[in-house]
Amino acid sequence: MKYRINYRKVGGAVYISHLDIQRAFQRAFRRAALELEYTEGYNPHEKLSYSPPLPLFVSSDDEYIDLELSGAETAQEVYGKLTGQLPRGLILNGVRKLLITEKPLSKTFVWADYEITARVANPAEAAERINEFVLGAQEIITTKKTKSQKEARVDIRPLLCEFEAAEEQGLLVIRSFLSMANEMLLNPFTFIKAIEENVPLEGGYYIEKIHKLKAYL
Amino acid sequence: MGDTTQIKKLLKNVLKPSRYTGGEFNEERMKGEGAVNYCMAFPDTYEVGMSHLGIKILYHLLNKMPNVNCERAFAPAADMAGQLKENNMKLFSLETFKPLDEFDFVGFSLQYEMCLTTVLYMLELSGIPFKAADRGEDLPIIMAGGPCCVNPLPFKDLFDIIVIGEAEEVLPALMELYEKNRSKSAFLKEAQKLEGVYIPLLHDGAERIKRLYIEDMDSSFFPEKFIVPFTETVFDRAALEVMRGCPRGCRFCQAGMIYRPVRQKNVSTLLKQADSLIDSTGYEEISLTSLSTTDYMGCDELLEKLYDKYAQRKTTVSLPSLRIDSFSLKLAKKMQTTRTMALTFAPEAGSQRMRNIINKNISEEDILSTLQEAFASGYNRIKLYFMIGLPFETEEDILAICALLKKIFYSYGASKPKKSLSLSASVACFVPKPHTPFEFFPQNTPEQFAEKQRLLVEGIPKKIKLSYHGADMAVIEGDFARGDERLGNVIISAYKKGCVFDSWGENFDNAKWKAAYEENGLTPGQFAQASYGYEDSLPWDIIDMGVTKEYMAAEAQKAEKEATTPGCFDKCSNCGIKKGGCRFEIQD
Ligand code: SF4
Repeated sequence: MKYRINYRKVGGAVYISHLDIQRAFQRAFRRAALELEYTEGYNPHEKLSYSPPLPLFVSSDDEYIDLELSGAETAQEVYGKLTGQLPRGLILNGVRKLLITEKPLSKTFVWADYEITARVANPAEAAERINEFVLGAQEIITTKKTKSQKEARVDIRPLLCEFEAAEEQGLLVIRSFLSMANEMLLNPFTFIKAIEENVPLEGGYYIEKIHKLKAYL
Repeated sequence: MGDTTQIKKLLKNVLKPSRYTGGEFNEERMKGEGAVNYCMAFPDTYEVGMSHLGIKILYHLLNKMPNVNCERAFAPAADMAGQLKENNMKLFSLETFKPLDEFDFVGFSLQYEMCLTTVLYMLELSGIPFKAADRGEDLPIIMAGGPCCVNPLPFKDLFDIIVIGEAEEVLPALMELYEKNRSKSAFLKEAQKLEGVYIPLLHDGAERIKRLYIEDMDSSFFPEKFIVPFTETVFDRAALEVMRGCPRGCRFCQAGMIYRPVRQKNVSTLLKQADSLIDSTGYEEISLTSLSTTDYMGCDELLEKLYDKYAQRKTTVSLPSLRIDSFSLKLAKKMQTTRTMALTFAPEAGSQRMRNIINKNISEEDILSTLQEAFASGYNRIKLYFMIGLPFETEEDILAICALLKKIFYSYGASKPKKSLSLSASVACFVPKPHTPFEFFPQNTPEQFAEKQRLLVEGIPKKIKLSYHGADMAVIEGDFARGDERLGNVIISAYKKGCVFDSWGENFDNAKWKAAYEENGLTPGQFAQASYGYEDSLPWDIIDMGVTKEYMAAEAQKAEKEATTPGCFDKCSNCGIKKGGCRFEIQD
């Protein structure tokens, strides 16, 4: 039986790398006595898949794991067993059963709704300039490291939408949908770097918080 | 509580920030105002420190006390240390980000001699003066414990309290005492009366400190829940200690002497403890640890029961090391995890004569026949451990290592295996340790070690992988094992010259150490190479290990005559720790 787990990663858990999060969940499943199905073959491993990795220092309200159990527990039972077995900062939102026809997690999501809070010298003016730049830009060019550690030029304009910058309680708050699509993932740090490069501010940006509110189909 | 906004800034600029933020599953909750605050400090990285079972037991033990908080701190990597200094901040604990200098106690676990500069590194990052005499009333009480403390003289000036033996036995009492008596000087005066507590500033230099040990392992504290690191640690599995001590009595081995008598747990205790470990952590592997697990009397039965219990849950059971005998081999086959495909054995010496001297009761036939059996069952990766520089060693003994390796290598083809043999030999430089029968004998000089290593390189065919370390670090280790208080300033000089994390071979800088000795009018090796008569007083005589010096001397004399001594399970040789000998038995 296949299930989809929805969880939050908040507080101190933002310092835990994706790899360590995977290990933490695997151990939580064992503590919860949930019997996972294993893959066949020479080196069998648990049938588990995760939503695209969240970078370090980023919190999220909407992360996912798919898993396959050998038993036929109800989603409610899985939730009950697992809650209480998660380390601080990893919080269950819910568990539901998966239909056989559903796409895997890597192909499910298209947009991630982010909120980025930064400390800047003059937030109201900064918000205005950033809005002007992003909404008026045909392309937004920045560089990012490829898998082979080379610097590559990318245009991130098509990878974002629903953009808005504003001043809130003395801070600069930027909200935007960033692409979560397979092969076209826009890392929030790449996004912020592009903003910083194109709208340089006196005194720079100090990023207080990057938070993912929701993943969209 | 430390300055979290500041700390959050630092964390963004360091690698693997989770090493500094705690929050692992089963991390203990801290109590509020009024509790005694103890920081358990480990002078190595998080990954190394969190691999220690003993640390975790103490951590949970102290936090179980109603009015004690025990937090953790590890040696930060260079990037974090740089960030702390740049931002004028102090090293902080994992649980509440509290600066170390705000604790009532900071207790260091000294597991190996070469960690002392890292202790200074942590003290400096905490703004705490190095020497006990320079620390005022309001600075924390700095403690040390762990196996290095069997000769505390080289580092006695650094600590307010040094615990001799198994700390579980006295830490709770110390905490209770402090709770009632929170003035440092008054507390230390009282603490001095406790057994196993050495307070260098108050000690008269003569009174012997008795080592503490747990009498009954079955009733001693064992946590129901263990903390589970997020990040991969060096030893990333559940460790179940089946017994403390070793029944063999190898004469070079300090652990074999300082953990006497052998204390075994009952099988039923171990099954319960295994459950606590596995249920509370979710580890996928449980390793049965001890100095010599296959000697544990319930080994077979325990393994059988653990397999039954865990097969369903896909939890594997492993042994960290094996002896060269067919019993061990049988166990290895049973465990049949891919990991055990490389077999490691420790003959320690090449010649029978030498193995008799060190009391390693194993014959060449045993070695060869066990390996034959291993080859026949498909093992083709073998690693062997040897030592050079042992007392009474001659050139022939070194050549015997080469001869033994060749014999093993050429015996491989006999069973017509499909895969080729990968045989490797790791050869360590022997360090004579206090509280062993070899405590009287000088260590080899670097020149002697080099000459022996040359013989090995020449005598061992290239097809056998030979690895050995330079002798320089072994010499410093020898000094710190056998030295006295004159070495205190050497540690400080070495640290000031930039020595830190010395136990990681690649960081060890011999030139700096040499300069640090010279600065203090000393020469590397002068303590390690000292030779003592059996009647002479030894620097570590102030520590009463339970095993008597007469026994050590008698064993040393037997070594000289190449005579062996049976192990404790076969026949008591009256080492002095228990009148009339120990009784060894376990229950189901
Ligand atoms: S008293 Fe005898 S049996 Fe006990 S540890 Fe000493 S030698 Fe071994």
